[in-house]
Amino acid sequence: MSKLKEFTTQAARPLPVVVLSDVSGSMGVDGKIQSLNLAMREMIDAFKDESDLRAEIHVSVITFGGKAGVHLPMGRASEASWSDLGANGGTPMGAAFELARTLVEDRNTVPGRAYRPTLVLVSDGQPTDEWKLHLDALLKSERGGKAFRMALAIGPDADHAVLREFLADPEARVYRADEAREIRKFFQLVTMSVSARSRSANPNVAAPAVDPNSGWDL
Amino acid sequence: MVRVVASSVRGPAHAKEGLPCQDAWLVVASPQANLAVVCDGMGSRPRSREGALAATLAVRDAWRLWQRSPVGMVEDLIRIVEAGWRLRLGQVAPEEASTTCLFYAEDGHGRATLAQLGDGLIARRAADGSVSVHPTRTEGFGLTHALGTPHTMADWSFGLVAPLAPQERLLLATDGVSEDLEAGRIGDLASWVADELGPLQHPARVLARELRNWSVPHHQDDKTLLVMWKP
Repeated sequence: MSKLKEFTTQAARPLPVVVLSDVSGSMGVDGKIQSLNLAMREMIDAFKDESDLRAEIHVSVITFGGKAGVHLPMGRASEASWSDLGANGGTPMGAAFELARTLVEDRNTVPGRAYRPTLVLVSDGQPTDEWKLHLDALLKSERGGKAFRMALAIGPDADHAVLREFLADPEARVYRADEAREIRKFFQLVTMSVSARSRSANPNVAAPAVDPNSGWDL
Repeated sequence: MVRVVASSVRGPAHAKEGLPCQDAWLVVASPQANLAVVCDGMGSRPRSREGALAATLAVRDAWRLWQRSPVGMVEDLIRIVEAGWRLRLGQVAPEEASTTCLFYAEDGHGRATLAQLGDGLIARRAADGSVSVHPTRTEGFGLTHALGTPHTMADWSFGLVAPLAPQERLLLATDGVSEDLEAGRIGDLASWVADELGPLQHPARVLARELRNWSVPHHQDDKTLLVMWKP
């Protein structure tokens, strides 16, 4: 065993993934919350199966429905235990942005040696709280602004303008899920994106775009 | 005279791909002035091994010129490094050979400089055990500046410092090493290299073996560690 072990950390470099998920009352219809639960479970299971990575994938899930909260605290995906979400209440997206900013900026939760996080926003409606200030704070924060961001609009009532502001990149696109089953496909895309990055020579650089030819509007 | 132990080893990612180590280091030790350079070729660039090697030589070239003046500005030294690196690359496009660049250079007139472009670590352990880490300008999350990527003088972190004193240890490392170090053990690491490996017949070989046996899970990077000290 290397003597150098005495001078090094024994934790792998984390690659954090933070999902901000809408669980407002409207997510409870048309099978959306069921599809979201299935997609989240599959994503975490896929991360658990990953091997030969440069980074260790860590996952956290922030929910906003009635109130915002941390459903799954940041930790190794390999040790994550998923419990299904329910749907209820309004859409306090601003509070979720604030929670995400706090989480990403916390050096104990996301250490300095971590790779750039991926923030994923999923929503089927319009924010019901003051969101703009909190989104600005997230995007202007030292670390939140450098995160990779992906967004999914579920159904016709999703606020695409807010999701575009979250992406803050004119070349990035808001993905659409017109049917509940398409939520799974989006999270498969997230999974592929994160996995590709964690295997790449430099996980801080965006992985090549995944082939969107999956039969739906990506 | 100073003493030095240094090694670069290929990381598992490059070993798996059959690629060479893309780190490079260079030391010039003399009674008049000393130089230590460590460069980390960016893994995503096809010619970064050449870029790292060229950078070590460019620093040596620039340092030789810089020493001629007892009042030479560090900014001028860096400008010569930048130009010399591009010239040494010849036909190789700089953006294909991007590399970080860290160095310690004495001018032989009682001054020294520390300079760093990109990630990695420069630290000094004084005789009393106190450790100072040279500040970096890296952007966080491993986003790094480098020769061959867009940057300005402001992206270099540099300053004049006192030359190495007796019993003082200087440590330079690429991020394959520095990102995994416990912050509170940097001084101990420098001392271990100087005190435990220094007296060995082939200290660099032992250090290389230690670097190859790196124990941090999922580590993939090439690794370079250089320790210079004045007995």
